[in-house]
Amino acid sequence: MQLIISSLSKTYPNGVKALNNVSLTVNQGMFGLLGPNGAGKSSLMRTIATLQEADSGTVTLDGIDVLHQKQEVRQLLGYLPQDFGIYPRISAEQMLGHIARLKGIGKKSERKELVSALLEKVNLAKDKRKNLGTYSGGMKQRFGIAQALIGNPKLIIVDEPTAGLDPTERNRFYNLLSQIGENTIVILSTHIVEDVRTLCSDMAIICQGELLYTGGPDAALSELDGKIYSKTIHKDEIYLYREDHKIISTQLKGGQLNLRTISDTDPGYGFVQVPAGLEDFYFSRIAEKADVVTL
Amino acid sequence: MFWQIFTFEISYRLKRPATYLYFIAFFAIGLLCFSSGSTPATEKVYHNSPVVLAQFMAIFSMVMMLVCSAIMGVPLYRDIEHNTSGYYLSYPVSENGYFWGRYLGSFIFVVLIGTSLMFGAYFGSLLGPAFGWVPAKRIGPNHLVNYLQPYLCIAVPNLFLASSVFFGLVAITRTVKVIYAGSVLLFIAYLLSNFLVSDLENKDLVRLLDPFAVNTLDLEIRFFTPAERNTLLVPVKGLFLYNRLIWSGIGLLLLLVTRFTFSFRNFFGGKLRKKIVEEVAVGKTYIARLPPVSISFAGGYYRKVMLNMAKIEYLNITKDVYFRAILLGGVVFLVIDYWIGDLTYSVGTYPLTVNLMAYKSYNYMLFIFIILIFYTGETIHRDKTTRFATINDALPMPDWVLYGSKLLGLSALALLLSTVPLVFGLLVQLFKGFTDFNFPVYFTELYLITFPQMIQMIVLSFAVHVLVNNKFAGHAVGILIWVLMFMLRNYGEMNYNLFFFSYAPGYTWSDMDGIGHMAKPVFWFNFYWLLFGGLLLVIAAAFYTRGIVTSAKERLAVARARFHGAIRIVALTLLVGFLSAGAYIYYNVSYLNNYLTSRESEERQATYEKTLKKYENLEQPKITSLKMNTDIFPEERKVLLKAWLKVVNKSPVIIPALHLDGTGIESYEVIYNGKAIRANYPLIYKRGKFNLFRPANDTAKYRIYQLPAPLKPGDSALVEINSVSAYRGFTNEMSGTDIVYNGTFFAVGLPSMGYNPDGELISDEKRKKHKLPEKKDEYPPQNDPKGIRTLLFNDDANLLTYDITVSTSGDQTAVAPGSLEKKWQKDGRNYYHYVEDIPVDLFFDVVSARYSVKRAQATNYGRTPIDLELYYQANHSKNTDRFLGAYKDGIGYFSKTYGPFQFKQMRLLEFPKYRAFAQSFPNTVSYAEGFGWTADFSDVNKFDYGYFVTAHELAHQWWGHQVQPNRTRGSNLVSESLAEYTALMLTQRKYGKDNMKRFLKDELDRYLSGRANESKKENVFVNCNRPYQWYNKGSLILYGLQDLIGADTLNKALREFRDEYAGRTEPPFAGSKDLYRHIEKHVPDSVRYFLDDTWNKITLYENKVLSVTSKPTGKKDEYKVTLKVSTRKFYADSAGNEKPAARMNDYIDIGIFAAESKDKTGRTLTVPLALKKYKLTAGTHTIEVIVKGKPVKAGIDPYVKLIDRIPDDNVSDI
Repeated sequence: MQLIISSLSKTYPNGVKALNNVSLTVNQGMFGLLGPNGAGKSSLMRTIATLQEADSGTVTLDGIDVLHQKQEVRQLLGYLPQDFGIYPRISAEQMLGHIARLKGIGKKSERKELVSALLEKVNLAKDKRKNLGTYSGGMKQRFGIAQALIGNPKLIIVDEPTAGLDPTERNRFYNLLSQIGENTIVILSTHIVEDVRTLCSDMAIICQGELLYTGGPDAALSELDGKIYSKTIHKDEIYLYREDHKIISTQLKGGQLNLRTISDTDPGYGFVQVPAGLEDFYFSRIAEKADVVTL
Repeated sequence: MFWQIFTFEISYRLKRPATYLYFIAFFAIGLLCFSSGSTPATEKVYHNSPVVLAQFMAIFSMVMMLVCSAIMGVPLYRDIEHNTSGYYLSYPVSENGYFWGRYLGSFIFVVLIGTSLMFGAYFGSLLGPAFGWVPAKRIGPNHLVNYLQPYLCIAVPNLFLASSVFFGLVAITRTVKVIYAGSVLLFIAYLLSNFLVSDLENKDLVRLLDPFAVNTLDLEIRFFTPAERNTLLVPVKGLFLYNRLIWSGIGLLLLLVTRFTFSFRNFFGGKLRKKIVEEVAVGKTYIARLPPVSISFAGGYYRKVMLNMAKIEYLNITKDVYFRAILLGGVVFLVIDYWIGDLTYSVGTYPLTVNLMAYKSYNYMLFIFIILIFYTGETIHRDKTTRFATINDALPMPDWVLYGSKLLGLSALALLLSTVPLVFGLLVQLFKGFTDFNFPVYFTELYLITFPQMIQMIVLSFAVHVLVNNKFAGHAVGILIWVLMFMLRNYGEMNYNLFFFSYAPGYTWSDMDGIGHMAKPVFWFNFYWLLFGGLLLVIAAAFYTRGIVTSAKERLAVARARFHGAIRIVALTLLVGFLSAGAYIYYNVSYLNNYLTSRESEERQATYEKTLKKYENLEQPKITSLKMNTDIFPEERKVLLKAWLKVVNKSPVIIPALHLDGTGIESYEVIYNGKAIRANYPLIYKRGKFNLFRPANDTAKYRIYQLPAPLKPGDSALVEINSVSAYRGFTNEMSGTDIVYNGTFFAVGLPSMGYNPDGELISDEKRKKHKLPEKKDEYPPQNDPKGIRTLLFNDDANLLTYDITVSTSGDQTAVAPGSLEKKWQKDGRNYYHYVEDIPVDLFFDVVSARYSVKRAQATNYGRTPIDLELYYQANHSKNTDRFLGAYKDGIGYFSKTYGPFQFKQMRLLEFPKYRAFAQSFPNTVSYAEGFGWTADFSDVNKFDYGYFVTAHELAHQWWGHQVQPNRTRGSNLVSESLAEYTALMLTQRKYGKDNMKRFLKDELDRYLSGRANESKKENVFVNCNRPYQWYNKGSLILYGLQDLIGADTLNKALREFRDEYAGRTEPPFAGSKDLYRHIEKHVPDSVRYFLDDTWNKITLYENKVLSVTSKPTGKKDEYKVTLKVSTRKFYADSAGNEKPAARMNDYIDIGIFAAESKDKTGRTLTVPLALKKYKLTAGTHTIEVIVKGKPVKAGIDPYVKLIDRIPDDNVSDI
């Protein structure tokens, strides 16, 4: 199984370039999609999930033309959108049963078994008969996860899946995903860089519609090895550093500002070398496109 | 705090384009209505008269309910919708400030938008005459108060009520959907008052019940004459004032209740549903794998999925509480309409299935329309509104499953809504103990006509919503389409059904003829529109959006990509089918038949007059004897006629040519003295613009036959006429109801002679448009020599005898006036030979249907028996004894009082419901199915109009057929007023005076509203020219006269009048002044004033009881009653300007009544303790009367024998 995206572009009528010539290959396993808000993550995922047309480019999934053979793709797809609604006056069990039917599970007994297993997995078994309208944000999100997993999807796309989940549920979800991800493609968008590090074998960073990086997290980290320096300054002094250093992140703590910079050589001025994290890599790439100084 | 919120709201509103659009829309409506003269004003009323302005404001401030809902629904809901509660609650906002600020900030815009009506109407009234769209004399002076008064008294209270209801409902329920229910609720009260207003008895209730005062206003002004409409403001007093106070009070109350129950906590925080409290998740047993499932989309899997989804869509709608509320509203009306139905003189009919199927359209279908429009939108946008679409659209069902499931769910809804009238129809019938269920009618109507129509409504909304792809815009566009069609049809004088989606020719179900010949056009139009609907659906399917569409271009590209293969073939097939069905309909409407727009018909009327008027006074021979064979082919809707006429030149001049007008006859030919003669065609119309394939010159059937030898005075000739009358194919509207499958009632098919002035345009405004002179009077003055020697109902003959052989199909009976000499069968057809050997008017029809017959005998005074025959539809036997009873009583009484009945037999024949009247021919009366045959007269207090109408038609055998009115001004009173009066007296003999009260009240009401809606001028009675004069005023004033001079005296006068004119075969014939002359002889000087007032003037009274008190006198069971009454008398001119009578000293009843009692049949009786005529002068009088027995009621002219502007205030409880 392989998903190949090549030269995908999409411009919205208001002129925003949501996708700008993106080419990407996604193999089986977990694939992390990183990017700031409005980077084009959701546009990319919606396009793969057959919900949106592209202006140009192609997407193929094992020979299926995703942009045109939508029906075939949908039969293989599990999709959890970033933002979705539910029918308030119907129970989770009924709704999942309904979706299972739509996903081609014709046998009632099988549907029933699957639905109860899924509800168990997302920890909603106890509330399965309650109307979805009464669910809290986290429960709704878990319902969303459950529906995406119905029907042995070969391609799972989850857009910001852990938003609204508490840490326990988040772990639980990731365990579930990695378990499924073994023989499927799972594309996961998130802005929690650390999640990608722990879960994904491959990742991509996009910003303002452009692909900035694609590869493994480890490879990314090794690129930065020994190149990250840090210094704590007074927040008013930032202007002194902006010009001369390639600042990749700033963090304010009690009036003091912690600066991180990337440099092949020791920048001096009191900067100290620190171990690189995936976040540094992320910021360093983003910095090319956007201002990361958050003051 | 209030101020900030208030001004915020105002600036918010000012920024919304919708605010301006609403204003512009209603401004435009006003402008259009008034500049084009599309107002309810009759021809003598100014378009911008105070009354018309008030009506306009009432109706459109009701329509503005839509604006109110849009503006008043959102100010609070905005905060819920955008979830601003989080921070709003943290601001130092007071509840009062918030509530009132939002309310007033929005309401002020409603009020401002309301002024658009005034501006629109005002500028319309200036623009109309300036551009010549409206004659300048139809626009009266513009006074500010004419606009402001109705705006403040009618529009603003309406807007306030609607605004408060919507604002309150949203505040209480925290949803906007409630607005639909709220609108329906307000609408229900309006519909209810609409419904009740049809019955005279409910007028006061209606005045209070109508929340928008539309009906209240109409009741207030219904007796206003044109002159009053032009000058008087609608008086805001009495029940009208109470209506305004009550409904504004309800609005205010609702607002206050809302305010007191409103709190931030409830409104923002208050959760209607309980959220689940989450427990801390604990590790669950780890399930290694999800259970294996088999996935397959093969076979009919998608179809099954579609059905399943359709079911969900269906349940989603039917479980919705608002759906149930609206449907409940519809069902309530359905049941009320079913239960009460159409009333005639407050009498209902048995719940026949054919009737119920008509009643269901009165209100129920309106609710259904709302439901279908609204829920089609909801269904299409449900996934998007709930945002489930983001999941749903990526699921693996093909587009057609999604699309189809919604369509199917809605179709199931339509099926449910089509079944509701069946279920409740059966229930109502059962509850009323009526078991003659007509299932074929139920099924045909509901599942073959109504259901497809509902599908058409759904399909249009469906396609619009898919194409527009926005819920509210979709609703707006969808409703706009319907409104546009409605406006074009009603105000644009367009009705070509091929161009109006979902429209079809009208039809009527009858027991006699079923749906008759209308089945075919209704089916074809439905089929045509379903094909069109299918086409719309296919096009919409191509544009159906799934997922996110970013631009119109992209949508178009997707649609183009989708439009290939099967979908293309289906679309093409539908297109071909649609066009073929359209072509077939066109062939019927515009080729086989001659469709004309209303403007074209009007033009033809004008052309007819312009071209042929010169022949009006041309002398033509008179028919003196007539023999004919007529063959009715009901199943072909065709009648063949072969007639032999003997004509004689009775005029003093030579007649060189025969003028024949065969309008309405398909074709005819003439043989004169055994030879065919050639015709000239003086009148050729332009082809109707819709009838492209008909001949360019449409030759009118007016022909001039030059006679081989001119007919000298006294000469006679034999004329043979062969004619075919037939209805081919079908027409744009219901037509051809006189030759039908069962129940033909047809005027034979003889062309008439000479120019027919009855076809002229009446309206002076229209006449002016066509450059025709004004038409003041229809008929010449009473002393016009030609008028005196011409008969009113037929100028082609004086009295004559005739001989008719009529044939019809083997299962039908055919009847014509005269004695049945012979009947036989030949070639499977029935033949009847009728001979009329007593000279009668040339005025008859032939009738043919499958009849049951009931026979009886009456006795002519002088003891000759008269055969009575009743021909009726088999299941309409409930009231036959009433009809026969009227015949028996009538022949007995009339022959004794006015002179012997002239024929050997008297018949009554039922004809189908398509037309609703009864008509008296010599010894034969045709009487419509819906006019008493199935009426439920079980309540003995109700007026037996079946008896009365039969008596009226019977009375025409004397007044009309013995005494023939001539063709001069007012002469129709000889026929109609006398028939109405003598029938009234006969009915009073049977049912007593009490039972006549309801009828007299109705007559008065009809007379007063008739003169109020007079579009030309009101004539005095002796010159009467309108039905409201010769029927309603006629019976009232003759009844009043007999009350003064005694019924016997009046009868004596009538007898003398009859004796002078009865059976005259040669002129002079009777006119109105001849009757007057006879009556005048018997009127004593003391009441001469009354005769003069009622016949030669337009006289109105204003009698009123001011107070009544009663005191025991001390003697046993004796009371002294003191009445304070006022009376005034007016004379009105022909325009309705009134002047007080200079002198008045008139006889007026003063009556004191005890409690009502009942006779042994259960009929209510009034018990007068004293009833005496007093001579009263104008002004207030105090009258003391001593009575025996406890008085409960008293009043002036309590039986309303005088023509009283406000009859309801004549009697007062003590």
